[in-house]
Amino acid sequence: MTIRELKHNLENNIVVNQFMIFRADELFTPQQYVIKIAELSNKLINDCTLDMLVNDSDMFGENELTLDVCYLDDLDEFIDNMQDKTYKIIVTKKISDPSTKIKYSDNIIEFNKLEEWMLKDYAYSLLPTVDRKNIDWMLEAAGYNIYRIQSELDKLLIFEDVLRDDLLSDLRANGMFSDISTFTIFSFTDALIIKDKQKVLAILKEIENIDIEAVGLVTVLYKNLKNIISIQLGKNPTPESTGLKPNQFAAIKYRINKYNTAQLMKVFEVVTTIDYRLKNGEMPADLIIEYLYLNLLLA
Amino acid sequence: MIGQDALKEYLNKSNLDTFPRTLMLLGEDGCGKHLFCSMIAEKFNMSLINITDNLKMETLDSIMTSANVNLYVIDGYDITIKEQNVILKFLEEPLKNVYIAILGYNKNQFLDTIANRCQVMTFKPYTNEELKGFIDFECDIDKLLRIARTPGRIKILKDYNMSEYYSLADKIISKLSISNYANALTLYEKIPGVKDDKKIFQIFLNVLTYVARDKILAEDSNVNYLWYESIVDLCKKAQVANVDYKYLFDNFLSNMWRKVKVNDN
Repeated sequence: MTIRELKHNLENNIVVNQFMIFRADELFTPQQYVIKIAELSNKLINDCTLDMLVNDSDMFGENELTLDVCYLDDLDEFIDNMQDKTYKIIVTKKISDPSTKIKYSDNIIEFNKLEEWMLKDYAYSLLPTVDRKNIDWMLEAAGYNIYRIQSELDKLLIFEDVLRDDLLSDLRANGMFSDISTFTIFSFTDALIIKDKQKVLAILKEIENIDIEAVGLVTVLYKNLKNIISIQLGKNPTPESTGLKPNQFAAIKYRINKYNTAQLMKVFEVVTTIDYRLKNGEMPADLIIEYLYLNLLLA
Repeated sequence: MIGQDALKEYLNKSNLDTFPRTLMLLGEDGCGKHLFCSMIAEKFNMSLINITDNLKMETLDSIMTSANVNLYVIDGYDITIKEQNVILKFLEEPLKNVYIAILGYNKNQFLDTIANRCQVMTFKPYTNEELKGFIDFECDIDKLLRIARTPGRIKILKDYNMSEYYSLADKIISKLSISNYANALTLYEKIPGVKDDKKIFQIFLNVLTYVARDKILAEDSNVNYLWYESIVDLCKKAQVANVDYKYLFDNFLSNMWRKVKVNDN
């Protein structure tokens, strides 16, 4: 079967029940296929890579409930451990021995390397309302690494359509961060601004292990708060008077009045104190996020 | 160099063997520390190399292997503790061809272990007569000399209209209580020249201090004292290395807006 045929079957919800060997340089695309196959087969994915490595003869026992998948660097090292069973997929980077290729030619599906144009098409399809120059910038900043791209797309898709293009434009124009963890910063600050405790907690869990630039968090939060203040507390605010673009102005209007006037001032003072406290040694950088959470959400 | 006769005399009497290898030059911003370093380099025929932006162990390694006699200058104004520890390594192992000048405002900016390893030379405050020698443009000299006490600061203010600073400072103190909060937070951008040179902010703080003091002399009121104390506190905070002046000033304005509104009510 070719990848085209497999894709066609999956797109038409045809369950594929045969032993397959996915040959690919990177795992992202094969993994998407595995997920889809499992979904259509109504099975749980069972990663039995370790079983394969320790040569457990029961590893591919019949199990109606699971789709067994193995991830290998070189198939030929473990070829003797394989059995032709249904509901099994092997994902491998390399098939060295030509005789293996011949023997399993009907089962091997070759995944092409993800080219830049493919990644662009993918991103464009998910962000139809965003300026493609901004998307291209994001792809380049992510190094055309599909994992990074997917991670950043997931975060960007949290925001409403109208905000996505502005977010990317802002980042691009300011050129402040080369590290795309800024999207994480935006998700977090956005959740703080709209006082969405659940979202904040969810993002906190997610960013626990990410090396987020805490000072960058303060910069973005400061900017967001100033924009909100200019509209919520400004006298007859308009895009012209606030210096915001019309769609930015419209988007930010959705975010006002989550804090009342006194709270907003207090929150602003909390954020503008952080830089001094950091540089004065009063507060370590790794406490910034908790500090913001406590002071902003409990304001 | 106008003024600083003691320093100039010391330099004139020194030779390469007697001149200290590690020097700490302390003085207000714009007092002539860099100029003095140039004078040292010229007298002893050294190359002047500023390594402030390259305070890493790799830089020290390359310095150690240099055959030339060089004066290495470090601007210590915004220096972090980590960078100071790198300098300490540098100071602990001085080489024959290496002369080091660390520049700063005062000794408190530096670890004791660094200051103890340096010959400390402090620039004396300039007299009015000495400073007048640097004023070659039209201005209110008295007002200028109140806020610019070094040649460097006088030079910065040459390009700006000083009365605008006084006018803005006066407006802030007199009118913050009746201003709109959102508008008040735009005041940092209204300081002339602050976007181009952040040293202007330090000069503006001097202006703010003098205007607040003059208001107390004119009217001995609680709110005037509040302004003066708050500005003095702001000036202290602005001395912290690398602090962002925009956040600091916005925080100050937000605080003052709330306090003066309460006072008015």
